[in-house]
Amino acid sequence: MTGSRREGALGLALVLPPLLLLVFLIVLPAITAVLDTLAPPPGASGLTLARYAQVLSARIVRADIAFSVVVTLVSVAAVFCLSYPLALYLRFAEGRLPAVLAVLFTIPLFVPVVIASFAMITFLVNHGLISTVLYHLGIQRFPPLVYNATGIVLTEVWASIPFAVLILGAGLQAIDDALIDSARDVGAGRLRTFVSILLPLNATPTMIALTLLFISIFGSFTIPYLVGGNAPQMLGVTMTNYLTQYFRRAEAVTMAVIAFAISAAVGAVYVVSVSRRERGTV
Amino acid sequence: MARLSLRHLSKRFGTHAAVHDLTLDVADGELMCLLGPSGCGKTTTLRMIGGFAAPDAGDIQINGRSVVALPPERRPTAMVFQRYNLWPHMTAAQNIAFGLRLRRLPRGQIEAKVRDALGLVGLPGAGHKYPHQLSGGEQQRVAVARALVLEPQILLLDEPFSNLDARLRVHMREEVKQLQRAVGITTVFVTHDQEEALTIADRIAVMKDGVLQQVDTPAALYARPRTLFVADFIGTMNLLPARIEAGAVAAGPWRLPAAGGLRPHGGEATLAVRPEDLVLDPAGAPVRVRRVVNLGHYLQVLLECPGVAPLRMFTEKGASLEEGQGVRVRISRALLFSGPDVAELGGPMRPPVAAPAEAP
Repeated sequence: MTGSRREGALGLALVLPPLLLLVFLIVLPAITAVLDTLAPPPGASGLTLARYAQVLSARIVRADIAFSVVVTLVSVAAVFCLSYPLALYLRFAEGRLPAVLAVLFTIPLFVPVVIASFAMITFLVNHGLISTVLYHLGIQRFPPLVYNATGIVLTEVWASIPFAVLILGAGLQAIDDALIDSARDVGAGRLRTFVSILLPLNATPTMIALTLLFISIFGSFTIPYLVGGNAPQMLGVTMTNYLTQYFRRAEAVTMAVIAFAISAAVGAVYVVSVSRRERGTV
Repeated sequence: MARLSLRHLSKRFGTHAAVHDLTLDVADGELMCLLGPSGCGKTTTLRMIGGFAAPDAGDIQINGRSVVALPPERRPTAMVFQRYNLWPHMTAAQNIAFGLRLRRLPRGQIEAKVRDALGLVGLPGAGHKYPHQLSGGEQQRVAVARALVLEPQILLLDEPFSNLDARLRVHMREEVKQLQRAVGITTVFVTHDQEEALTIADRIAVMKDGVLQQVDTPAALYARPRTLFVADFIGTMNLLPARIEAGAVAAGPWRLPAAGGLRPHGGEATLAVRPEDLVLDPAGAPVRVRRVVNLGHYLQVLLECPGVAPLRMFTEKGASLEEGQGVRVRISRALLFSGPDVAELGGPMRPPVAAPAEAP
């Protein structure tokens, strides 16, 4: 055996375990699940979309899908709006405070989602901290903050900000100072420099952050299960209920494939935009 | 028409003084080089002029008006950086047009100015290209065009060619010099490369550890360095430990008659001799040839002599010198640094001053 062949074999041996894991634990079950949803009733042959039609005919399921998409989009938008300024601050501020903040803001990364959810509940619930503060400020009537979409969004945002700041911040860090100084030098103020230079140069990390946030929030279970209301619910909770409470496995799997298709569509947007960027001008 | 004036400028980073009490005047249309080893404060000085760093003390004036309080976007300066000048998501033309668009010029005028600017730097057809489709030299030219198109009063260049290969660097510095003369713009050019500074500058400001050492024309800086650092930093220089004795200076095997008014500062001094001021002469002191390097139009000879480090001598190509050979060499001209004093010994207008030392 030659040296290069031996190296090739070693490479294959290193790649094989994760590859096998991927094939047997993710790809094959996914394929069989998709085929299950397309399987015809006993006795018939061919493939059919009857299960999808049946699942989507239920108004509650359609409402849950719409609810999941809206809650996810609102959460992603809120995370983006809150974490971009923070990422900019950590990139450009000097001194000790940003260094301290850079550590503090990552704390949610180390808090298990279950604990975070219960913490948010105690904060947001009637007679909780927020309600008490609002009450003492003279605001006595306000919509409930928990066991509804508001609670889910607030908790998802709290849990997702560190991840978004890390990705956006890493992108901003990679933009050379000279590119920013040049913009200031030819007359661009801070806002113009942000819009014309930083935002486009940081587009790829931004796309990565937005798509990954969408997929993870859209597929989340713990937060909507604990902080959400009874109905409508997010798809993760609905699927689990169908599988473990109602013992309707076929419908649960069909919903899973629908959820997967929505996530895959968002993922495709990301892949296209990133690859166009790499082939093209930047 | 712009004069730049730096008044008692200081900048500290923590406890480290990056620039200390720097006062410098740059005349209208002059190309001033800030020259010094890395960490001497030259880039910090340039960034303070451009508005990217705030001085802790002192003032920066352009045509007598203080600009210290202005942010970079409101200063009449334009900067070309060492690298990463061009925005990668814009074409060369868009890069150049960006500042003009911010000034809300009519589209036709912007197009004309961009075309002129590209022509000025010799890249008339490159407007539609993205930075990654341009070579390093072309990118820097576009950066110069982008700086000049706004018709700034002061052009600031921060080692703009240090990332280019040697041949291109030499070529680009000639081009920039010509362009600067043609446009007549007051320019501050930062470099650590003394050859670059000597070839392009009208005057050079030599800096060390944040302190201005000397400001002079390249010729004067070479011929009459005022500090030992400048003497050593500019060009090639032989430094010999010297003793000031009654009426004479002793260095290695040489004894030179001292000029009047030379004060011994504890007797310790340094004699600085340019390689071309070491001359083969039968009446000179005996030394030994260690190495001969043929540099084309002249020879660089490494000389060994008792009591001092090896000396470099430049001599004509015709000289027949062999390694290991004993020769006699005199010092035709030298500078003596003694404490804060500098004295010139010998010189082209004087008779030979070196006399052979007595054999030990």
